[in-house]
Amino acid sequence: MKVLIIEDEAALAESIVRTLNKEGYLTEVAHTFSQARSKIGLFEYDCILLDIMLPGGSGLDILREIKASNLSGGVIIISAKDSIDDKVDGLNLGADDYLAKPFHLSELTARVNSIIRRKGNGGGNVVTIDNLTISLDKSTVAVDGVMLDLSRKEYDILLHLAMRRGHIISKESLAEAVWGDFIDQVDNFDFIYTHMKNLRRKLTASHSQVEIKAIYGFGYKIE
Amino acid sequence: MKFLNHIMLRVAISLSVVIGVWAVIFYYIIVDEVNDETDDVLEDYSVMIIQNFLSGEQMPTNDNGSNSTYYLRPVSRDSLAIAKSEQGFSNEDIYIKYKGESEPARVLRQVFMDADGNYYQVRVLTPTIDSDDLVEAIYRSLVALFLLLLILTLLINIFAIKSALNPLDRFMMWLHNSSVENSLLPSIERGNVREINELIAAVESFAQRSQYAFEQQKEFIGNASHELQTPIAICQNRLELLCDSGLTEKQMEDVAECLSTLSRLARLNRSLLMLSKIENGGFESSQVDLNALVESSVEQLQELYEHRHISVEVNQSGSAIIQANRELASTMIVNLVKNSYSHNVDGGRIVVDISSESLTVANSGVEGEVDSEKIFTRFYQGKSKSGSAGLGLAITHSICKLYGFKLGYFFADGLHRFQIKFK
Repeated sequence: MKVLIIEDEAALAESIVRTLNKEGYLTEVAHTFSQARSKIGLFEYDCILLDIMLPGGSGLDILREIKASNLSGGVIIISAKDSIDDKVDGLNLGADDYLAKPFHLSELTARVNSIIRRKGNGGGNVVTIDNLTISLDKSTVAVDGVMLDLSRKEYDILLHLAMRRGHIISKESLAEAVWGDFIDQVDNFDFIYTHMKNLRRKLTASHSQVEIKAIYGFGYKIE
Repeated sequence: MKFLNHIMLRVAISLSVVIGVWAVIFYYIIVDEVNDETDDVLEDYSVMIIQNFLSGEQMPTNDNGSNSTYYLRPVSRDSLAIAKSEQGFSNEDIYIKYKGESEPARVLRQVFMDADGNYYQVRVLTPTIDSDDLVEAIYRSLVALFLLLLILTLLINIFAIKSALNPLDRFMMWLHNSSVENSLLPSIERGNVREINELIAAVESFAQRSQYAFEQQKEFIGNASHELQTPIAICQNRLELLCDSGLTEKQMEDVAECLSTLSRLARLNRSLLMLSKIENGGFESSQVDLNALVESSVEQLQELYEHRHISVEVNQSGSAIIQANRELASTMIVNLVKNSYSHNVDGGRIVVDISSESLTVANSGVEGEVDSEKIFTRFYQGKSKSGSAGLGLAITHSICKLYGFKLGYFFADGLHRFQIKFK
């Protein structure tokens, strides 16, 4: 699986490369508009991470080119321009996803995984970890084929962690992902504990091999 | 006081005085002239009588149709002194025999001596009714003229000033409808009063400079927060890589602290971008049901703040449907409701009232009344809460301003009340 990272900020590109490599992806980096164009012309990628603001031109033009030449890879726009217009423009031009800077690397990995899975097996939306199966279409969770009775929030938490398997997810980013932007001013994350406690109890009761590890003072992780 | 009234009042007062004084002086000069004329006639008449008498010519009859009458009497040496002292003009009431009544008259007495050394006193008189009529006519015309002059002058003044001030009126409209934050209106048509034109030009250029400075500031905030995103992203991602590289618990705690601070910075940045975006405008509008928005915000936030045991009461006495951008309307409501939670006390209360005209969010709090002037300004924090940048209400305020809603704060019955009026 090959991912092209079009990003002019070398330090940022390197972080992305390291993360994706660990995830088992092959990566290539283009730092400028012209580098990006020549790479797209020469090779095929499963996924392209595209920064909008590039030295030498706009990422949106590259997106147009990708779409015009019918390349099969998915495109995720990563932009510091957290503006609705850019997002709408990008998605209208055929980008598959949009990620605003700054983003969590775990989030990026999850998005890349999701796009490659969608492109790869025609959108087979099932996540399996050991004996745990999450069906994205039906929003259900089963352990060894036995359905778990989870609340909406418990399901969201489990899915979020499962999609970012191997990464430590901070309480804040977990809260932000599950509860949305409401979380902005919250100074106390006690409300997560309650849900987490119930979720873990249900997983243990159903003999799941998947375990949610608490990283003290920081967050959670599924190995 | 209006400028026109101000000028007219002063013009009217000074004109009344000036024309009045002029009229009085004019009146007395004319009257004096008329009396002079009468006196001249009397004097001539008296001289003629004396001449005729001394030369022995025939004396004029007293009913010669000239209305003037004369009396001639010898003066004894004894009464000469009295007669001499009586010499000169005087106004007297004279009994006129053929009319059988008294009438005011002008009288001239003179004493003369004939060739024999006998003294005579001649008394000539003429009724002043005619000249009184004349004076009265003059008086009337003067009053009429005074009023006419005054009214005409004022009318001409009103017309002249009004036409001169026309551009100023247009300019005031222009000022009212222009704002530095939005675009200025096109320049107005100039008049031909130089001072007013100069004023308009000066204000216009001032407004343009202010607008330019405002644009610059807006752009700067936008660009600055925008440029900060990438460095924040780099730091955050590096720390995340560090997390995954097997740190001790203590190290993990430090990194966690850094990450949470960074995400605060990122949120702050996002809020600033949001503010400059709102100020730049250009959002698509649709009908937004605020009742539903309030209900869902309260529901979601209640879950987050469950541990603080705050009681919430939502009174819907009407449905508030507004024309706005959905995302902005949501931000406006969420920030307001969130504010009422984050500045509340444990076990406090929140009361939300929605009607078709307004939305009020009231909450209990630690502090008493806060400065309503400052509460909507950026970065204002009451008795500060860490983790909050103090931009939530500023954003709500900006959104309200964008849509012409009125956002107000007041403190009553121990509750902080924030009210949005939709009109």
